[in-house]
Amino acid sequence: MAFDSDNALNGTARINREKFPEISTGPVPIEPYISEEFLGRERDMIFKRMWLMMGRTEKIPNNGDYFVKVIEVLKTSIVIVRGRDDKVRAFYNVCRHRGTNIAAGHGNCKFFTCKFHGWVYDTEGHIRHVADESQFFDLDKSKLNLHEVHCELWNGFIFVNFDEKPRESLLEQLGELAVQLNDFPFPEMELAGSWGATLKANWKLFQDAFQEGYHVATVHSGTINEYFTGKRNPHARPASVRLYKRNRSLTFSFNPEFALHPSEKFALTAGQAISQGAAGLNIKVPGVNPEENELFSFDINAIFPNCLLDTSVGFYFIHEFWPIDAHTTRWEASTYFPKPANAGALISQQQSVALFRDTFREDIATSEGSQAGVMSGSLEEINFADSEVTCRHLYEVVTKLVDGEW
Amino acid sequence: MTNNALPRGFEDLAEFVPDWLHATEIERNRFRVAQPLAELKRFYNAMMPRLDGISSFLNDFPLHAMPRDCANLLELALMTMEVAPAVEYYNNPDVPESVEYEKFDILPVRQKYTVVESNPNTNE
Repeated sequence: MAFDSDNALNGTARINREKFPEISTGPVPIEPYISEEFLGRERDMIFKRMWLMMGRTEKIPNNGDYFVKVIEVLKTSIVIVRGRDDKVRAFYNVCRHRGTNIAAGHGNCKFFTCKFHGWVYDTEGHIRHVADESQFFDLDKSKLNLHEVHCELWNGFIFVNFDEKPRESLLEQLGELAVQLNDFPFPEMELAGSWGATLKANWKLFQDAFQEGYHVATVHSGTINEYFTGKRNPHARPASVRLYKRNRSLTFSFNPEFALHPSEKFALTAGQAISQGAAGLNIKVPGVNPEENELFSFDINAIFPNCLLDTSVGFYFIHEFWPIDAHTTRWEASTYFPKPANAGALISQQQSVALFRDTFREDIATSEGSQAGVMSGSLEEINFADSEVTCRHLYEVVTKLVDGEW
Repeated sequence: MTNNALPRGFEDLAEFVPDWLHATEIERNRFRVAQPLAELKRFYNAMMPRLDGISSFLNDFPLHAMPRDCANLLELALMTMEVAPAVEYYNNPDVPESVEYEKFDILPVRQKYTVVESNPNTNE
């Protein structure tokens, strides 16, 4: 569809300007990318209100499996646990005695025992034991269960919401993306690679590095550039873009003239359907390529505020961007493949895992430099191209929310 | 069978055992970036033409019960995939343009194969 328009790809047509006239086109002020005061408003108006993606349920398959997630922007830590009734719940990681953390890292347990004075909670959050209880004064144990955080599941993804009463359900927040991604075979896949970095970059500026293709020809000039670019699309413009209320989605096509390297050729023949060139096999996967663009490579799906869920033929990956302060972000990425049926599949998956990881290292290379630039005092605004409309959308959604619009 | 054995037919790759055997992505990547490019190329050139044969040979063994010699061969193949971007793209052991290596965390992932230390079906 959009892809076979040579004018759209090589010419001067501004496809997103026409498709999304409500999105501004002028320069964007830098304050949202550098200001602690602005981050404070993002904390109150966004991170305390939205459903936030915490990870996959495969991480906690058995009763009593748990993991702790520290959410620095909210100055809090939660424990996410699968109870004896199989339900996944989230609790503040805070003992009701004197506030000590009741768990760390990840593991499996029947009870959480506070390391300070030995108060015991079960995996459904009920208080089960207070050491030397008679020494307390009028202690009402029925009111001392762990404080629970709203927790909902969608397609195996765990989301939590820190609002007292969430303004919308998880499904409402996911909106069109939940429909688009509903049938993607998430449950058939398992974690194959996972990486992270804590870098000096604002969480939106960091996310922007992963939601446009304009950087591909330069940042990835040594690697995946030619897979996406080539004569038809030298600047890796997106094949299609969908902007929703707060979420967004865009599709990239691959370069049909791309010549596979030996490891990529091997991975394609020995494996299942793997990244480079797999699109050329024209395999149909449910839940991807919503506008049926030719030469489909992958979709970037941005779940507002801080999660990208990118889907393709035979794999998906997740990016999380967690603000620590206005100019520091913890980024974590993970990639998922079908459970390898044999050694050939496993070897071929490792081809993608190694190349994804190395290209992500290229992606993050510019973030600290960009942040230093916007903080240098020499800039008042930055500029986004038509092909960077997704970055502009994130900026606009954030500014509306911090200004009190819902 | 010694821990350093390779299955029959793959003995010519013995010079890479045990140095190039690493079970996790973290270890494989650390090893890769510490090798000179010429060594990476030597390994890649020895392994790449053999990968189709290695893959079809190993496909006869279930991932949940790999004999030690097969697991060794599998780890050489996984290392080849780790080395591939350095040889095919970068012509450099590490990613040339990125944040410092120490700032990038490779996080643990469950190992996808299990080694059975003695197996009567191989090297009988």
